[in-house]
Amino acid sequence: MTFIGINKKEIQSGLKKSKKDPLELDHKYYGFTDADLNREFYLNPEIFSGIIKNKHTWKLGELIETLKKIYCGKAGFEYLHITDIDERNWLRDQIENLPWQTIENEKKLKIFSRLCKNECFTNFLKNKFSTSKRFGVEGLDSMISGLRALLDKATQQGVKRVVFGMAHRGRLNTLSEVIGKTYEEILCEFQESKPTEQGGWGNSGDVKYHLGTTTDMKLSSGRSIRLAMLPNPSHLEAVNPLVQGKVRATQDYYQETERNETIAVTIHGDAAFAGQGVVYETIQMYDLEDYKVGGTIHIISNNQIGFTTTQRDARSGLYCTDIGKAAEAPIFHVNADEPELVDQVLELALAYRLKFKKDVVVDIVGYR
Amino acid sequence: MLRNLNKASKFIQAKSLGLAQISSSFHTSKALKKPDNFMNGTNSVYLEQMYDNWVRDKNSVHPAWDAYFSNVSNGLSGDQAFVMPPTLGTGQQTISPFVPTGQKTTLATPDLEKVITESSKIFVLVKAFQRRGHELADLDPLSNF
Repeated sequence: MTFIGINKKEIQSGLKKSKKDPLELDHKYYGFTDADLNREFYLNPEIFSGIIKNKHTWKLGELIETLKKIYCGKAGFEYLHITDIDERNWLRDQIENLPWQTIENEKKLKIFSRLCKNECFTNFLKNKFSTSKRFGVEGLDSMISGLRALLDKATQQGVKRVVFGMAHRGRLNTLSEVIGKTYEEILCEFQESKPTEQGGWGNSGDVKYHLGTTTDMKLSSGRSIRLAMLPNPSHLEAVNPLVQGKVRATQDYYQETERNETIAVTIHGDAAFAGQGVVYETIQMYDLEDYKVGGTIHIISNNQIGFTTTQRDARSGLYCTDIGKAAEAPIFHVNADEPELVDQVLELALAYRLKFKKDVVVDIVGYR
Repeated sequence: MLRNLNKASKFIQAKSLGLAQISSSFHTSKALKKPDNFMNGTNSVYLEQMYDNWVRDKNSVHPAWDAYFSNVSNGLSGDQAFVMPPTLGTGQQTISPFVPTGQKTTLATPDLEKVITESSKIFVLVKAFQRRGHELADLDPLSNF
């Protein structure tokens, strides 16, 4: 596919070509032949978690297919860099169970209606304000439905406040479809007229795709959750320390000892997450007694390009998320064309954050 | 009780010659390869207890100890008396004292060796998927274009 004069496929493969193929995923590397695929092997590693904990007799072929289904599907998981064995075992159990989780029709309908609503809003803005900068979320739509699923789960788990920080890409959609900022306010901002009485953005005088808001969202369960989106300080990733500060202050104010009632969610661009120093500066404070917030959920809205710079020319590592390894955060990559899976992965990230109180990175790979 | 203790100390005395030999060459590879290299000073208390129990009741100790003590009391030297449990790890206990014929007992038969090698390879394969499986994951929505 030729895309703005560039062969897109060449860009995609550019990174992977430079790395050696993972030979050790091929059974032939170990001296097994295709005839061995039908042979049964007995495995009982007692101390392992995951699929081979409960089933001890495997045909080699069946085992490889199962592993491919888990680890080489539409999502990829990096977690073996974590030192703590309990965390690894827990993650392995969760991850290896993921493909067998059933998603109820009710939930699928929810995802569908969220995607449709988001699509309508995007199209409306595109038609009405075609010359205005909107930084739409197209190509990463599933991030919006995923964030809603994340909030649904969060309230069930007793989370009362969520503080968001994000850059411009997809911001208007997040504000309206996730945080619940009213259309009136957003459209007023487009028409540069006075905001409505409730809410409003004060006198920041910033461009509309940098403004923030705070809402109290009522959920069908009867619970309510306070959502805050910080105004974006116009420099990539500069909002990260602000989110940390706001969450920490809130946690201290409510005297949270578990730090599970107020949580931080930051949404990053792929190029900025790999390239900006402030990302590391903020992430490395994750366990400092005076700064920690009990873990941040990092979401990468990965459009696979940094303005005009291709991935191969922007970073040395295979993924834009490699900095997460410095904080021993588990890193989940997920194909943005799989909204159900995006939901599942984000819910897993939340569960990890609440259980182990550490950072976690979810890389949603889309395009645009 | 006193009689048993006396017996135990007699056993240690009887072995003390061999013990001195072992501890003097403790760090040489020869000593480490000796089948009864559990015979050293730090284990003497445990050894005495085992012997004490064995004198009282042969079934109160592991069959491997029974074999060892029987062989020693039949006049074999320490490294001849030691018998590697042939079914180590399978949970079956079918050891009986025997006089070695000069042939060495090995732990693994060729079949068992193959099984062990193959299982360990499969564990490495499973681990490899956990570590590098993501590199083959289909993450890019544009990959089909």
